[in-house]
Amino acid sequence: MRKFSGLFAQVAIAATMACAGGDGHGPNALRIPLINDPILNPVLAPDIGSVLINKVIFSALVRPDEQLHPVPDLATSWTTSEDGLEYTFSLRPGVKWHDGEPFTANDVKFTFDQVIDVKSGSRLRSDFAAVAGVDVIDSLTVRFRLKAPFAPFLALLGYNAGILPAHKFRDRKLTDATDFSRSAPVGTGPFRVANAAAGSAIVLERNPAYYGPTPDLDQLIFRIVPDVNAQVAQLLAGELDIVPIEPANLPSVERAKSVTVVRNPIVQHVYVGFNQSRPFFKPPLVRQALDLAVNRKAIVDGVLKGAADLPRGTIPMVLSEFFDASLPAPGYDPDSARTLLGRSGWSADDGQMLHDARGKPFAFTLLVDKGNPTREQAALAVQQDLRRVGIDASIETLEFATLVRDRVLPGAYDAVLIWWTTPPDPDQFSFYTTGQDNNHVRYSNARVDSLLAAGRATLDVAHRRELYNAFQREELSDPPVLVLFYPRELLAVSRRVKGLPSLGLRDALRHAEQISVRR
Amino acid sequence: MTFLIRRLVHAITVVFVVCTATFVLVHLAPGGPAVLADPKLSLEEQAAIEQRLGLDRPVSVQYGIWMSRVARGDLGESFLYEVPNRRAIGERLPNTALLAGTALVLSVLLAVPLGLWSAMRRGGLVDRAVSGLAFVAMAVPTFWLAIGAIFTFAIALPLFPAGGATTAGGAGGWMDMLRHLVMPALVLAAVTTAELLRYMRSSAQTALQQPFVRVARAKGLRERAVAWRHVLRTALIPVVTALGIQVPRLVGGAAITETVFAWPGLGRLGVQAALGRDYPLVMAITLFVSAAVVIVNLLMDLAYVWIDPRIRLES
Repeated sequence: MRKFSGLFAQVAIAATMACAGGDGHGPNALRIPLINDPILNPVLAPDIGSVLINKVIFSALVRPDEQLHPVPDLATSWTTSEDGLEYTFSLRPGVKWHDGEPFTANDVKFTFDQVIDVKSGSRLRSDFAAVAGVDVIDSLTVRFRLKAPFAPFLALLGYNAGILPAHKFRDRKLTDATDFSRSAPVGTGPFRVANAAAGSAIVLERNPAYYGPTPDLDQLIFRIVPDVNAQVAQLLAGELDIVPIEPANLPSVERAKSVTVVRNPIVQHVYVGFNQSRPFFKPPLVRQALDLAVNRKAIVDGVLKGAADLPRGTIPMVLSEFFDASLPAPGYDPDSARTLLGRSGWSADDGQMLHDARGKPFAFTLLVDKGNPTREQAALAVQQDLRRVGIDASIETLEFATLVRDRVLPGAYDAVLIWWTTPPDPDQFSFYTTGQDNNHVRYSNARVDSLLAAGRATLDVAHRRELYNAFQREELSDPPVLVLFYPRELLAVSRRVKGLPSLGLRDALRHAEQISVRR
Repeated sequence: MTFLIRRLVHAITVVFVVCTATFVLVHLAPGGPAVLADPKLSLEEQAAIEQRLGLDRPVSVQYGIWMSRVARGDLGESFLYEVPNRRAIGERLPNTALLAGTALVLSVLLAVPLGLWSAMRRGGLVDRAVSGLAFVAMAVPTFWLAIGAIFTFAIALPLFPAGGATTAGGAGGWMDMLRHLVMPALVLAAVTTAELLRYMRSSAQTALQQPFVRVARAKGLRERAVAWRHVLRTALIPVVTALGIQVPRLVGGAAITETVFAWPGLGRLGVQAALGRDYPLVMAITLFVSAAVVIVNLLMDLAYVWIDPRIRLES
């Protein structure tokens, strides 16, 4: 027993030290949670957590500025050929990899050879399907050849396409380089890995050879904390500095003096997708009616606590260059919705639920992913609003992976509440053009097909804006999906943190060298 | 000796059956590997990933490949983490062993004396207080207990860190580890202690009715001697069995405590593998944990002989 009283005495001492410790000591570190161990390779990274950490380890040719326009990063300048099929990049001289090797055009070629190779395990292939090949002109000049003009190209280069060091993969495949992607990645970014403990944390340290401004932070630490409530608890305890939260977490963080909440717009639209291979969702009139039946303002105010913007179509407002803000805000008009449904052959003689001429009710299943209270509540609100116009939607919740793999990808669903996060570019060709793999709602509109095809092939910004504005107007009469809102990313940020750009976290971290923390 | 051989054959059969059943169950579960659950994947990319992971083959072929690899001591590779499963488990095992070991030692040290005391003084103040607390510990969900502990002892009264096994980026050291260990170990021990305590109390009560206790008392032995020398040993046997049940639960199933305290252990790894439909990792963890259970049970059988000389192992 004596041994144990000794132990408890030590625990008490440790506890006292914990109280005394904290601010003023140790390295200048920013701490951010991830929910799982990341894959430290931007080409293989399949999830948002990996994407976040890879942004500060691996630089890309360009990066988005605070208006989300691509600006030079590893490339200092570029030229585009007349026909838009060739991009020639001049690379920044004197850049060193974290292991001291020089960065050259060969690294860029190697990276994109992997990106476009479906066998490499690349998760960026669909982003760069337009790339035909990459040529090394000289050690600091590289040329991309495209199959067709592709306007989102520069935005995508600055999005997730961190450059890999060719010399680390001379004799092995990307997927076999386990040590690289788990604990010892080599990039050119402002931070490099100092220590990676599985399931625990990845500690990054300032890259002394970084070509840009020297980062203010000594360390950038990504801690693995799978549970969002635990993340909030660690933020309140001063063990994390930036935590992405859900609206439901707002009360607990807003009470805390040490924390402030920022609401930055992100390039995302959250929507209810109606599977248009189902006959009752096929007529545009029905989808117009559904659009009018849902009270989005109530959802934004009630469920999202105001942390979202009302939508006007599928192009998020944050892409202000292409977004037509003059269009009317979405109406909420259940009576007009009923009228439109009546014109589409849905009636309700008893004044209650709708049915067609043969007496078949307007009933379907709405899928939503399990475990996210915001989306589950939004689905409930949609269900109630639809019931008010006589539509019977029953909700089915499934784990996200199951929902996507078993239902959405094979098209085995009626309706689904889901979202698209896109690069900072209005291109939505793959989502809403007839027959595309990512067109999960099976939307088909010939005019939209040609507008979206032209939109991605047009480099002139003014002309491009006209095309997307026309697409936005077309969406009013034939909505591809029922856009519920453009969410804002809720970040609970410790008041120690300074210089965080007002962008979504994934873009803000491309500017990690500007961020500092008060000791 | 024949006993040991028979038990080993049993053990291998049990592990085989458990693994086969798990293989069938994980493949029957809806959904599929999380790496494939990206709405942005094109059909071509999906096909390439399936081929790389071997998912394009019939399940029976996948089973055969898995079995033959296991027979050669190869636990396969994780889909989620792209590392050998042996490494994924190896990285987490020391953390789990530390947390589970501490919790187990704490609960034995608390449950055995308190249970004995409660039995000797039935209905007394200690008995009633301890039984009440034990019921609370068993009734309160671990999740709630853990979050409550964090809010009380990490935020309101910042005595201990809210999560993790070490201070990330800190100097480390055993003191740092110990500070991080206190809360999760106590939370994890709470439930185990409560269960062991109830076993201990009731088996000690049974032992107190035995003739040899009456003899001991008739000899004029003091109550303390009766308790520690005669009752304890007899009463421990069901407790050892209960302990044997707790060990695998602690090794494989401390998932909730590990998740809330962000403790990098095996339980959390298992939950994430199951949620992400990481078939190879789920199988590797199942194999590992079921082998651990079987071995622990075998050791328990041997422990009975040591505790109570009346028990003989016979084939």
